[in-house]
Amino acid sequence: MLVVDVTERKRMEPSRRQSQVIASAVLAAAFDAIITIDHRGVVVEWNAAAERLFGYARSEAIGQAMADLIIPPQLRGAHRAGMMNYIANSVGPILGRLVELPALRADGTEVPIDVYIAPIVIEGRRLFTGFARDATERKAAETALKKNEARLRLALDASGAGVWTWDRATGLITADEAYRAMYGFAPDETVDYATWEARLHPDDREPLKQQVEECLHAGSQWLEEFRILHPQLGERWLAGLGRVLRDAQGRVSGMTGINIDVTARKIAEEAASASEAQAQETQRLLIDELNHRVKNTLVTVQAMAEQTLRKARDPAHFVESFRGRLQALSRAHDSLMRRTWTGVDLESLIREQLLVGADQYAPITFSGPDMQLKPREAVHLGLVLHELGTNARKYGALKVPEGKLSVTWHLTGHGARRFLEINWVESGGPTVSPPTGQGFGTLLIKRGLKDSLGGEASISFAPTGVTCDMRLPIPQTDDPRKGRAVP
Amino acid sequence: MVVMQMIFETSLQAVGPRTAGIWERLEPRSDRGRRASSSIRQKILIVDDELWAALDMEWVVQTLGHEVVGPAATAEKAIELAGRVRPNLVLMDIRLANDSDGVAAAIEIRERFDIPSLFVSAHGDPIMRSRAAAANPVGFIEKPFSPESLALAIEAALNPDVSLPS
Repeated sequence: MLVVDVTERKRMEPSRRQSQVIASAVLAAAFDAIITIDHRGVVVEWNAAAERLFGYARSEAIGQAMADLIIPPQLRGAHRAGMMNYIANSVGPILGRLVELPALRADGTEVPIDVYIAPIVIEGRRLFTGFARDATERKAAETALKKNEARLRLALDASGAGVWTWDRATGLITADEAYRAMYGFAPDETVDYATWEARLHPDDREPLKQQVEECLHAGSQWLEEFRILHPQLGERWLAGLGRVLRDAQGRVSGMTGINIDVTARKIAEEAASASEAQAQETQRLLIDELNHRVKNTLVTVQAMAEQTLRKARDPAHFVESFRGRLQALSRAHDSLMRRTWTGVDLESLIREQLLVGADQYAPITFSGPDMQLKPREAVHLGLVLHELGTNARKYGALKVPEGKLSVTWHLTGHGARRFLEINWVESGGPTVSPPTGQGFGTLLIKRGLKDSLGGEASISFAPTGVTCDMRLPIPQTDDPRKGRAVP
Repeated sequence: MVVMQMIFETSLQAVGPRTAGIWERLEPRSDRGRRASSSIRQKILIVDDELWAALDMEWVVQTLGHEVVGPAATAEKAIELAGRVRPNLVLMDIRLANDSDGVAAAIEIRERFDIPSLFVSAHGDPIMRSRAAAANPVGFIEKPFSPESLALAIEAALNPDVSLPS
């Protein structure tokens, strides 16, 4: 038999009156609405918070059926059935726990409430006390959170982001499907710091680990782009964001973050920067080449002036000869400029060098296949043709109206040894007498072909007219009959 | 090109009857050159793929009383001629025909035949000069050159021990 001394307890027990005062004060001050009903559903207690929440004064509510006051009509049947079920069988699915239910206010509006209903028995009477709170804000916050989560998931899915969490104590990395796919981890494979580290590109491994260490130490976050070696896809670029996690004591317990595969962007960026560099390089080369050509042209012009001057009989002769040569050089350049210095068509070059001024109507015939000359060949051949034309106009077939000039060309040889042959035949002009010594013009023709073009020229001063057979090698690399020549 | 022609014609009108004097002007210098280089006629290989520039150099070489070898328009031809004729000096352009390189040719000619080169090039930028320095050249004359400066450089190259009046 157990005997317990209850003297002390009795002494500590407040009086019944005291208890009632305390209970009233608690009810009045409670933040939650507190409603008590009897077994019939009639309101026996209704505190100040209930007045505020539902809009009925205590005096209005007490003695009323609670269902008629605050339960929406469509739920009243279920309410009554639930009460009867509890009274008959002592079971109530919504009792003793927090549930969310809709409720009615005095103004007829509905409000969601979080409610806890406790069954109590006082002096043999079954009563129910409910603690209710307006759930509007909580629900709104929850809905917002859900929306945010959905948005975040959508963003993560759209970006192909993978989410990971690393536990510092166990070293284990918990990650979603996207993350595993990104690194090439099998769905059931255990991933930890070491397996993650092993996937990193050797060149990026140490710097990235250092970043993570610094982040752990500082309790901050890291944001980095790095390469991994995917077992199937090879090198991939990932953007990673990591942030420390802390335990209840505030100690760094691990990290969490996301990874995004940015390989496509990286490739595009690299291609863009490469093409920009390439454009700059091309421009630099073009400027260098232009400088080179301008300077070379000046060198040629100066040498032309010096040498023409030395061979000139008098200033007038110099002016005539030099002007002619300068114009020939200019015409060759003009032809090239029109084709943006990529080359020039042989027939155009011949026409432009021979059909100048009054010679527009000269009886000159041209025939030969279409072919392109490179810039250098065009300039040198242009100057040679100028010397031949000048000679013909001054002494040969083009000096008289009945004279004729035929210029024909064709390609000979094949493979590495191919040549352009040009035949210059004058007829119908004054009777030709061979020059006594080799003139400067003849020297320019022969050496132009030989020294500058690696070919040869033979000139014959037959009495019926000057003929000149020219032959120059055509580089093997490009077929001048097809497409455009390159400089 | 049009501008260039105008410049020439305007200058020429200004010079007028005195033009004849221009082509005599090298004579005193070439006399001095002959004295400096003794009476031995030397062989000078000209490497240039541009006819007019080559003619200009030939004229200076001949005026100095030396023998012209070439001209060669490519590095390959230059090396072949240097080996066969063994000139005393090479006047070497840098950008040659068939995309061949005068610096490489000068290095090979010096190494194989111990013949020095005097670069005569329009490309006098520092990069090109430092590249050319690898050939240990006896000098670098920038184009367009004045006949006098080329003549002096040739004589200095042929007579390294004789100091010329500057």
